[in-house]
Amino acid sequence: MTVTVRDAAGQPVDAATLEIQALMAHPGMAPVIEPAQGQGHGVYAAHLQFTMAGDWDVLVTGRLPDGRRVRQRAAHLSVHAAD
Amino acid sequence: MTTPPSTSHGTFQGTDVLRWPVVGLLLRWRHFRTALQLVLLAVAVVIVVHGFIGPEIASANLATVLTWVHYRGLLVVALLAAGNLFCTGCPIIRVRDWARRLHVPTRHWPKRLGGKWIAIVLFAAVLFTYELFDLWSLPRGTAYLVIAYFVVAMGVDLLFTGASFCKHVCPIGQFNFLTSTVSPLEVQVRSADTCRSCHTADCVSGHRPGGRSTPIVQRGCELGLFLPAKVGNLDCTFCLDCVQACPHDNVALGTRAPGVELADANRRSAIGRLADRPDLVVLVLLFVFGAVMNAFGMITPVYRVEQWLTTMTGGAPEAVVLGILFVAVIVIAPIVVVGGAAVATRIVSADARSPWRITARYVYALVPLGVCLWTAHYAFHLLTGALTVVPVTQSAVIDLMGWPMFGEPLWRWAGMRPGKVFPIQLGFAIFGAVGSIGVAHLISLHDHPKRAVRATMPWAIAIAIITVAAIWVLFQPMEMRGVGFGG
Repeated sequence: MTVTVRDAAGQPVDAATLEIQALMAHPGMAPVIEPAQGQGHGVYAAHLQFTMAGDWDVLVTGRLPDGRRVRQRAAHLSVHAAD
Repeated sequence: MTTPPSTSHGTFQGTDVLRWPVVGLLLRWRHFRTALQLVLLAVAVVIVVHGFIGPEIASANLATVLTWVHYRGLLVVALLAAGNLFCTGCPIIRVRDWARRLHVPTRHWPKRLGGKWIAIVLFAAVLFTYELFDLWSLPRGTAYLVIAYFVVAMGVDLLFTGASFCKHVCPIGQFNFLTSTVSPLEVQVRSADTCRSCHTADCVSGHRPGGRSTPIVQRGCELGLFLPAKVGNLDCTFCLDCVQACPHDNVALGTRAPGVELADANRRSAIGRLADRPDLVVLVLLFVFGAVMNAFGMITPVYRVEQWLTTMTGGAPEAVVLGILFVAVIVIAPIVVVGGAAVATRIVSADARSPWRITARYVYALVPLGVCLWTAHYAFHLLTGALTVVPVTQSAVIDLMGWPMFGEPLWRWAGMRPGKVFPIQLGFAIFGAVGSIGVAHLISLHDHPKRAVRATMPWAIAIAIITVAAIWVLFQPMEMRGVGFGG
């Protein structure tokens, strides 16, 4: 999964410390959390391996280069079991 | 064989928890219930507040985490380890008691609305809407549900006297009453002789230290349970008002054999005979088959069944498809399985009673299995997600205070791996089945002393069918859907 971080002016933000969190739609289930690696031009990538089928909320969390905390919802995914 | 001994008819001989050094003192403390209620009221406030102002993500909101993971899990743990402690600490009753200082109800609950029928409809409605709207994934929906619960309870109990809401309306209360039939503790009479010499019945009518013309200073049982005639835990909220009201200190919170009361055919105070209560029969069936349905709603095959039903019905809305599924599992399946067992018992034991009367006698044997199936489900969520409350609380504090007073959220904290919990779930299912067969046999020993084994066999087969179905559900891959923030 890749996410792109931009500032208020639309400029890409590099050097942020981010991770991608996938939280199950049902509370109380173990999350999938992976660090997001900077790819340049504000792009960050992480490989997520979902542990079960169902609906997942994907969030980007961490800190921006200026120290500000970020916790942003990124996607809502429906993961289906492989047949 | 005679009727299995009811637990409150003789002189108490078990262990009285009220006499224990520390725990006993705490339980007998006049303000014990209030203290417990205030704790749970604080939790309810947190649920409502965070449900509205917290993130719209179920796994990151205290409303959904505390309600659907911790409350449900701890509720069954408390019921199996001790008794109906969550009714004891019900925060709604605390607020209701405050409200009754301003407005004292005078009406009695209408007789035509007696029994558990309203609670049964609400219980079924909660199970249905839980699946239809994916309530577990909705923090605000959960907060609204809690508020609605308070509002309805207030409305009922400010209009009608006693614990009308608890006895006739509250679906959680009925769940707790049924589950508490397999609890190890029961409020009991210490000495039957003392009750026989008592002429004031303070345990049910309230304590008036100055006689009948003086005001009540301690209320008696709001659910109308007269202790000398009380059998088992049904309708008992463990409020311990009777302990406080009895002027003879003749009430025990005693140990007993869990589940035996389900075979007791005696008339019970404020309940009557179990076999004469069609509402309780329906409640038990809903309780047991609802446990299977509730777990079935969280596995992959259910979505394939729903898709197939959607196709078969020419694209019917989800509510209709889910309704068909509910009717199949909680109406048709009980009629086939339980009705079949009743007919078979009638034949093999030469029982002259109608299949309905046999059902009304034996259906209570299914309760231990139902309890264990609910426990297997709720224990899964509690054990796999017990620690999730830590990062969610840390995150909520950051949102509230603006700085990590309790540290950065430990989002990796969750609980046991699902695979590790499965043997525990399996154990509960088998344990419940064994308990249910045991209760069925107790009933057979009473009703068919010469053909007890034959009379039990159909029920053992019915219990085995339900258990195998439940274990199949537990074996399936989980697939938890939810509307999430995406709508």
